[in-house]
Amino acid sequence: MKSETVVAITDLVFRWPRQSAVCLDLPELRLRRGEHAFLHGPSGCGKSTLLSLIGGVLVPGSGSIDLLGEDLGRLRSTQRDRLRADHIGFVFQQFNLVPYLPVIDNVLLPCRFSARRREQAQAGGASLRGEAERLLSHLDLARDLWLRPATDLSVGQQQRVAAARALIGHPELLIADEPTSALDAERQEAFLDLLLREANAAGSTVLFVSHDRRLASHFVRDLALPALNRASHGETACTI
Amino acid sequence: MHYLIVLAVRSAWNRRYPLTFTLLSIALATSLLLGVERLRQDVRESFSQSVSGTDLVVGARASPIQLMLYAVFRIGEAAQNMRWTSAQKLASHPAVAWSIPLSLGDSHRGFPVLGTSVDYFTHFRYGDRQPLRMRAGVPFAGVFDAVLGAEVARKLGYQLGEKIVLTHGSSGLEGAAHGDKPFFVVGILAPTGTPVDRTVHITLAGMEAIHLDWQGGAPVPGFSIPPDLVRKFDLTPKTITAQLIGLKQRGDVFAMQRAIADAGDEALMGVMPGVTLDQLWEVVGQGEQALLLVSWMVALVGLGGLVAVILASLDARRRELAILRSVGARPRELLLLLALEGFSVTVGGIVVGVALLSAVLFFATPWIEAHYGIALNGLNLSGDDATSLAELLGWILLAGSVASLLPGLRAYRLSLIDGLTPRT
Repeated sequence: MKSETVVAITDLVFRWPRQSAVCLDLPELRLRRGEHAFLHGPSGCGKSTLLSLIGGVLVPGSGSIDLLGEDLGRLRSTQRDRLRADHIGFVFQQFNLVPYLPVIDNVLLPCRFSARRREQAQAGGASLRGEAERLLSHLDLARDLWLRPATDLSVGQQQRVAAARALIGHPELLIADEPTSALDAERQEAFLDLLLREANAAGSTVLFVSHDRRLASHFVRDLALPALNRASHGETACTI
Repeated sequence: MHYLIVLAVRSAWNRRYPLTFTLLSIALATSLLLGVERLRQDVRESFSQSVSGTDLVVGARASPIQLMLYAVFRIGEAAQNMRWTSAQKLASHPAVAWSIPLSLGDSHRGFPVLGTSVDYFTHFRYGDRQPLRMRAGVPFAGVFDAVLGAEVARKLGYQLGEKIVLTHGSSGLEGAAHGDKPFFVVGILAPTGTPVDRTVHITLAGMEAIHLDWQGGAPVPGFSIPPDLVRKFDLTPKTITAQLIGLKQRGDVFAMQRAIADAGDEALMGVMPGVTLDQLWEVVGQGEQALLLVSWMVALVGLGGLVAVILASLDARRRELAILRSVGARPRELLLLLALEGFSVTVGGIVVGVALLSAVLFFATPWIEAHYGIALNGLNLSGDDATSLAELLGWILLAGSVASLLPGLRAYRLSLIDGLTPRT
């Protein structure tokens, strides 16, 4: 039985090393399977820190973060790395791609580090390459770009490649950290539509982070981090 | 792991220009280091085999090193000579297979002149027991015949039939020339890489003849014997400088040494050349050590360049490292990625360096042998040489691996600090 809750945060407290002030103090945050959540807040309020905690790159000082029923704080760092590779796809603000790899190899990157993502990508009977190509064409990337070096692409194209990479192998959770802020308004809408459509198709939960509240209308759930974070008065506690 | 290698190769290819130059600098350092080491061994071998097959060098009792210096290297002068009669007595000793008399003291344009017998051309051995070979002409026979070492002929541009004038003593001062009795070049030796190349060889009789009308190191005023009359005189030498002895059985060498030392009528000694040459090398070999040290420095500079190139690229790669982290790469896999890059450049540099040196040796060896007589052994991949070669390569590889770890460790640290959001 698969857990219906993808992310469950309980009484999380996090403080950066060598900082006295607490950065995050979250009593509770839950993301259900297939849910699309929008998380907003001003810069430096701890959004990226929260994503690193959910991704298992950082560990909470106290409280717990469960990812698909696994308490990240109880796992060894290699187990957290494995869990991240198997279950989470990331899209960042920009410079999302490994510059020396062609587009298609950038998309396939998660399958190189996770056997589970590799198997799920091939689940429909398609080859790995076929699945990568399917995602790229769904995300409106012209076929002639697939073998080009990642650096040849425009920023908008690069973000769509990053989305394809995040979605390959149907990860349970898609984390997008300001993926549209490098795009102009028109392309923001188009990118967001594509991303959410494909996340739906893959059955992935989406945690979309932005400081731009105008994008919230695309999401069922709208979360304001400063409202959730009991430590939100300490503005500098989340930047090091 | 397997995909890390793919990534490392792709990333290295992406920065192939700086890395190529780094690889070349490591290659040059490798071939320099190996080349110097090779040359060091060959020069040492060449030096300690300036004389081979000779069991004892006999001379008036003094320091053994001094005896070697003048008897083998023609450097300095004998404080005292040995009597010809003593030399003859030793030559006819039942244990002695052959002997070569050596008489030094004169020079020709800075090159030492050696008075000796024809036995020199049949019994003298150098290097790996190689006999002397004539490059042109024949060994001397007549009183005023001279046979030149290869370097003498090359430097002075002498051909067969050349008329040469010897100078008394090794100073080459004007006025001390044996101008009245010139010698004629009848033979030129092939290069040996030993002091033989720098020697002008004449007969003992010739040596005696030019000093007939001399006394106490100067011509006797108003008294001169023309060359065509010298044969009327007794040209047997009274003394010689030293004598090389070959024994019938090598095992007799210590007994013979004692016999020479105990010969009552003259204070003589017999020195085993190999041992003394090794002692001498301890002194003159210092320069080679310095050369080796410099080569290591060059190798370290090459590896320093490697670290610098990879470290310089690292800050630009923080995003890339964060991306790799996000898809599940562990910090220690990133360490490995960076270390692999440095390691493969080092390995590539070593391979290219060895190939380069092999090519150079292949083409240069005949030329060096022809000009300097030093037999370079090439990169021998068997036996003792191979072990020392492998050892040297191992050290370079180790140094390269350690150097490659530096950028790797930095990547490890950065990936822990940055997590998924590089702070650049």
